[in-house]
Amino acid sequence: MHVKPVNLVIARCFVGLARVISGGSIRWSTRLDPHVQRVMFANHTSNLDFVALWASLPVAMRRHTRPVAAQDYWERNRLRRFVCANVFRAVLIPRGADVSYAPDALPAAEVGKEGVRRMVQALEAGDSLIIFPEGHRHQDDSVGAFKTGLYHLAVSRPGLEMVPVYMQNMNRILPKGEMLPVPLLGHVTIGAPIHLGEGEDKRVFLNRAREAIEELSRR
Amino acid sequence: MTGAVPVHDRVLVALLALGVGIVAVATIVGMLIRRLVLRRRGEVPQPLAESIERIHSWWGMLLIAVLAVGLGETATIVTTALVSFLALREFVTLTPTERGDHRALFWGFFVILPGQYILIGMHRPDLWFVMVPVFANGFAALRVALAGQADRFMERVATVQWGLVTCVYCLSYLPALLSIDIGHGRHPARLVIMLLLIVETGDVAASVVGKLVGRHRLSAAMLPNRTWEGMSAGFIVAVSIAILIASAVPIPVWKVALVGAATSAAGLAGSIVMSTVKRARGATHYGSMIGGYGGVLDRVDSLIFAAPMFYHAMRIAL
Repeated sequence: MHVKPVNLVIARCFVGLARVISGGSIRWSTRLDPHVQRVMFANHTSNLDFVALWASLPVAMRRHTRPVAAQDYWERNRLRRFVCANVFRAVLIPRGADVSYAPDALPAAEVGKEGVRRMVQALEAGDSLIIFPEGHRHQDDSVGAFKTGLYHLAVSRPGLEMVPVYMQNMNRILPKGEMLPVPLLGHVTIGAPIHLGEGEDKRVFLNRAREAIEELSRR
Repeated sequence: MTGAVPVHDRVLVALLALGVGIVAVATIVGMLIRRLVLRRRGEVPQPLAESIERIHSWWGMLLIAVLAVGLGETATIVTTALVSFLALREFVTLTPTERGDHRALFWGFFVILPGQYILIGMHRPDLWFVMVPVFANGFAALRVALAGQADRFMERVATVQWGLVTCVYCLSYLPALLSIDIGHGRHPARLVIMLLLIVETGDVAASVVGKLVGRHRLSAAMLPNRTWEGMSAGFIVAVSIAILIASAVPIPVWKVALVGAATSAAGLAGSIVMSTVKRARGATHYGSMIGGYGGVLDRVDSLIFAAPMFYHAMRIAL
């Protein structure tokens, strides 16, 4: 997908800013081929998470990696809409009825399917994704239960690389509800890819994925 | 006091040359020891490697000294403010702050820290002496209180205040030395280099001797490399350096020796205290910014108490 030069510059600024305020510390457990398509999934505590993770990726990876974000939240005002659509090329997906604000509320059963459909569409276009399977920002360090989208992605694209990522301290740098960051040192830890096993149960796989992040948090 | 490169101040140039000489010799000796140990044992044990790394951080200190001399007061203030920022960042990252401390911390990083250094640049000791310990600390407590989370209030306020006092207030004494008048023809940057020479030589002597020949720990609870032997060696080396360079300031040698002794003791105390803060949080280093061992705060820990001590002792002695 083509991105306007001015938006590339804006993206570059976001990357620089994210590196400065989050300390820009990144740990790789394995070498990832920047040209392989993958889904990176991370714990979610702050609006900084995506930018900090994105900023830690090599440029070659960053260019074709898109965040998956909540439509209800990121379409709430013009600035968010612009940043999402033009700078980060976010894949916006609907959230369920647990979210109070939902302009074009879908029936509960359709919400999940529609989200997966949009993510698969992005994968088919050749892009990699960054997703936060907890579905919302967690207030503490624990990793919450995963929604099922990650599993459905794995089913629809067999062999797809799923990379666990642990984001540390991001909620202390920019907690939910704050506009201004406190520039502490955050860490991004990127783990070894996991794959959906043949015939692996949904719950087993999601647990394994969640534990992969928790395992990174203990390092 | 600011202005062009003061090359006419020969003593200043000599002090700087002494600094460069000591660091260069220490670096070479460090490299030789590393190579020797590497050949004999196949690997360099971490404590030794750490001591050698510590020598390398001297070059950073030296850079500040060169800036102070070459580019003048503003450059020194800005550089030290940056060091303060990085140190405070490491300190707060390591300490258990909570959601309710967010706004207070924001003020600390973006208002109090720059404010302190601006006051230093304005040569207003009447304001910068009290700004952090009285007003900023009071304000930080208020800001935490307003956030409405009352549990562990005292501990949380103390954490923010301690970070501000050590990483901002104490470190800001370093560029403040440039506003001390030590007489016509004597550039005050001499004081900055004196302080760095006294503290850093003492620091490295304490660390190397403490690790090589130290037997008696300061206390059973302290780290094994903090020994009476090391502390004494650091103190003696620091005071010797102070006596060696005493002619840089217009006061009797015995007074410089006393200033050096007080400064060195404060430096050793600072590094003990700051390392205990680290250990209270179960960490061995504040960060990983410099080389493989430790962050900015690990390197400037001995300056934290030493800079105010040197400033005030020198003003009393002058």
